[in-house]
Amino acid sequence: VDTTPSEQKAVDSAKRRQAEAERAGQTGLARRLAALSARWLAVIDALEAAAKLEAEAARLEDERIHVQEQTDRLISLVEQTEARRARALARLQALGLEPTGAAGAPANAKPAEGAR
Amino acid sequence: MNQHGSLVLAAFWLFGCGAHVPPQTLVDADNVARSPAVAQSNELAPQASAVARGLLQEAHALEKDGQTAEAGVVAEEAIAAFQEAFALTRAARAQVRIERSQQALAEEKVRLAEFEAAQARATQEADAFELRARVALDKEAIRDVETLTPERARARRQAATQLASEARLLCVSAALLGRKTEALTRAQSDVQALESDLGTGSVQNDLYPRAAALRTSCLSELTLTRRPLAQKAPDAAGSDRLLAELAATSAVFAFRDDRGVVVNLRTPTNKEGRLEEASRSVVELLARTSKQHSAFPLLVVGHSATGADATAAETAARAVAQALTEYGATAPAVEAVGPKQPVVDPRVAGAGAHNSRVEVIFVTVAR
Repeated sequence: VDTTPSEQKAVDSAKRRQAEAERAGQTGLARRLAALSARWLAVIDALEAAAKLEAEAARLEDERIHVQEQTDRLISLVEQTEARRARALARLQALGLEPTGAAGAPANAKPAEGAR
Repeated sequence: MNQHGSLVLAAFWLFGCGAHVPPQTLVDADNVARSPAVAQSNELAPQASAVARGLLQEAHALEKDGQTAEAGVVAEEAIAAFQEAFALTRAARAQVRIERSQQALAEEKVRLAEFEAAQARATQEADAFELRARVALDKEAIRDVETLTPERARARRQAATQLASEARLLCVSAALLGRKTEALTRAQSDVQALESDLGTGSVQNDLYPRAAALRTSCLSELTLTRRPLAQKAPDAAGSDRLLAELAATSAVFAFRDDRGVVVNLRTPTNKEGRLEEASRSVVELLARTSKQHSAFPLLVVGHSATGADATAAETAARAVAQALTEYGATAPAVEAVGPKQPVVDPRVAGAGAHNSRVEVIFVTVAR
């Protein structure tokens, strides 16, 4: 969360001036200064809320990038596994256990029975 | 005009105009109101902007009325109100980013799950093809075995190690479903003897055929256990419902193999062997699911990437099993197989991250 030193100084200044106005009997001015300090406190709250939301947005963006990187790595792994599958199929074909020319089921097809 | 007239005019200008010199805060507030940021806050924080503009108008009215001090304070409040509107504008923009990121993240997770499923299918198919090739090669005449190249001998040994490990888990699964036969006891004893031979570096030529035969024996025992149970309660036996329930949670990726329905936990524990917070909710979900499918005993298997981290994998498996029990599941059986069952060729870069895992298996009554 961002710190808000200048806003806090403004609150302190308004409160100090309010006390001075009250001492001088300037009730109207004191009331205005009370409203001013309350307004600066609202600014501090709004700034803190904005900073929290921005941090959450940044966290979510980082997480998305992380998941995207995982996906990218997995895509590479799927390609390697499909290549291994193709090599194993070619071996079976060489052994005469699968018809030659058959590409085999794609990876998104139903898994073969007895796969383990 | 004489000198007096000039002085009067000067005084009039000085005091007359001086009385109408606005306080600095009012000038500042006017400048803020003209800044480009106001246009955005009018759009994204319209109520706060309206309040700020209202205060600025009030400050001008007070100044026109001669209440300079009050005008200055209200102008300051107008500046603060504009700042509040700007902060709310930032918050609104961040909220939009959050919503977009949440949607993009959800889409990316779906994409990841799709590739995980594709990877699992490709691995299963590749394993199945390789197993068939290994079995076919094993039937080759003994004269071929005599001329084994070192590379081929190593490959056979690896295959025997993996098959023996798979045989052990299949026999354990049969025992978990209540199988108590002499054949199962013998198969388990033979698996133990074979794993001992493999562990001591035996160079016997029959290691691979023994492993293949034992895997078949253990699978046969499991199938013979399942058949009467499935006939007795066909509705509860099927793993389809369990698989669908797990898939619907989208918290885990589950798949089926000979042992039952398998959930793969990548790295459930930290370096100290304690369950990660992120894994707790998954384990709790699995325990809850297990209670709803009490006919399916649980088996937790620790896999490591290398022999060096086999103990850590076993510790992780035991931590998961303990947490499952704490969350109300019936105490699961725990097995550790070290690096004997890789899902990715260990020579491939990054394979360790996939091979190191803890599997939670619902040993189903029917496949």
